Amino acid sequence: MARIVVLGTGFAGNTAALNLKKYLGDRHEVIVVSPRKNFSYVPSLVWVGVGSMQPEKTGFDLEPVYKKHGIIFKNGAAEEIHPDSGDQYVAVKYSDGKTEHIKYDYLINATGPKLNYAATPGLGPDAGYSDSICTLPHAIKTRDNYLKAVEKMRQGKRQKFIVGTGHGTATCQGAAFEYIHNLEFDLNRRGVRNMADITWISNEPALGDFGVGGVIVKKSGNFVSGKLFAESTFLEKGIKWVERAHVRKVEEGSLDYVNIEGEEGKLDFDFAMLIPPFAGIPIAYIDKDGNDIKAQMCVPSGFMKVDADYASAAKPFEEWKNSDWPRKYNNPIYKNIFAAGIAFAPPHPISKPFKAPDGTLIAPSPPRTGMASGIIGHTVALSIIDMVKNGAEEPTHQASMTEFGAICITSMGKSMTHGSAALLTMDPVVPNYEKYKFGRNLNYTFGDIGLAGHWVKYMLHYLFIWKMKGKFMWHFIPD
Amino acid sequence: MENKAEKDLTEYVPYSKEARSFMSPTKYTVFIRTFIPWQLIKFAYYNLKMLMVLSKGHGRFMDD
Repeated sequence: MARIVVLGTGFAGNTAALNLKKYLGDRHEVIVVSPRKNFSYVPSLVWVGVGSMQPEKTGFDLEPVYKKHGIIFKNGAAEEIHPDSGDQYVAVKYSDGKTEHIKYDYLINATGPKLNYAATPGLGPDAGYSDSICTLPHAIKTRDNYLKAVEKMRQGKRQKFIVGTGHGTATCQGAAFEYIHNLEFDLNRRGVRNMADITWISNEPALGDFGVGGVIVKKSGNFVSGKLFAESTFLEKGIKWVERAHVRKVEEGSLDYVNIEGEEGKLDFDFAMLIPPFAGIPIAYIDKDGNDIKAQMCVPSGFMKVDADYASAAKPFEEWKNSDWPRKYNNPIYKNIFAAGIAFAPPHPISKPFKAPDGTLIAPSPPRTGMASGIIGHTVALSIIDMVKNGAEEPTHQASMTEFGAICITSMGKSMTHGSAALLTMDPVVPNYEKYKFGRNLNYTFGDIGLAGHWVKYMLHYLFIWKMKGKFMWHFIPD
Repeated sequence: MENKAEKDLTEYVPYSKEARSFMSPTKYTVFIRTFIPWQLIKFAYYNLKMLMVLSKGHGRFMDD
């Protein structure tokens, strides 16, 4: 009997656990470890953040799902991984202070990110002055602060809104882009748009980069940069923007930034939603002699090393290759440990990195959330299934971000009759300039804006929650 | 209904940062984006496009 331990219950972890149990059956044990009892459908937290979706519609309790599927659930936090053969286990700490050593034959690190608000002084809703939509509790707090601002506008007081990224290396610009559009849409709906000044700030080299190097699509007989479409949505709605910027600090009512030209600026705000940079969850890696081997297992940001070429990070952007990116997602030292979703360490950004004259790095980190997380979690599960059932010594499945495509839907207003969303397909996720003139296969790379895009996002909300609940025919729903 | 797009066009400032790569939707484009009969056709088209991307496959065997 094999035991597979999965750390995390997001898209990657939950997808992996459900697939492992489905195909390994009762002969083998699947254990999920997470300090969270609920699955949170993060793509819809944008709507929670402006009060257009009830929080309880964005998640569900995991215990009954795992019980139904025969998956053992440990509601605790993984604190240590002891990976040496013969003594490999995860040390889990529970809320009552007790700890348990859970042995494993295969381990999937799918913990997701640590939200690194501390990287920017004053950033974040807990100890800082800005809001966030990265977790459900934060999205609820964001909604409450947003509604207070709406009330002030109704009383005749003009309000300044800032939305974007809170650090030069933050990711998830797409989520912030969704939020600023939903905010603008909702202000219109509430009849107070004329009392609001809305500004976007981000670390992207250009609007529409989204940390994936931007996108070129075929449109009206031309090859067109997504930058033009992103900018056009802001011009249409009277949203100002600051790009190529690193937020140095956030104070009550203002933030300071620097851009790649070295220009320093200050933006005042009454409400700010800023996405933080991500880091790896702080887990210790201890060898059989009790030595801390984290430096060998992880990159400095704390994400776990997999089969990527990490030496390529020292090379200039022009020398980055597709072969830098991982395919199998297992650790090169301990090959029975995998990292899936945000937990794996990418070799370097996707977008070209820039620096301010003082050396401040302004480089969006590569997004690998949502569909990419599900694909990687599924792929890792398939490899482990082959290793368990068929004795494969190496992972048998691959999913390089330079080869698979993704679908991104950016909500721009929630309404079944006059809402909108930008639907973007890109293939591959990481531009492949060795194979395609514009980095991507234009037969599969497509973008459009409209009400139908909102219908797609709304449909996927229910479809993916159904899938993550492991309901009837869940496995027929693609990642 | 006031044409929001045309209102923004009146704020076009030559040689501004925005003017360097200016694109803004016309009144017709704003209308068609929420015209339900057309968007129903688009919905079907989007689903076909998504199926195309999904059908390319991922999680392939290492021998491929």
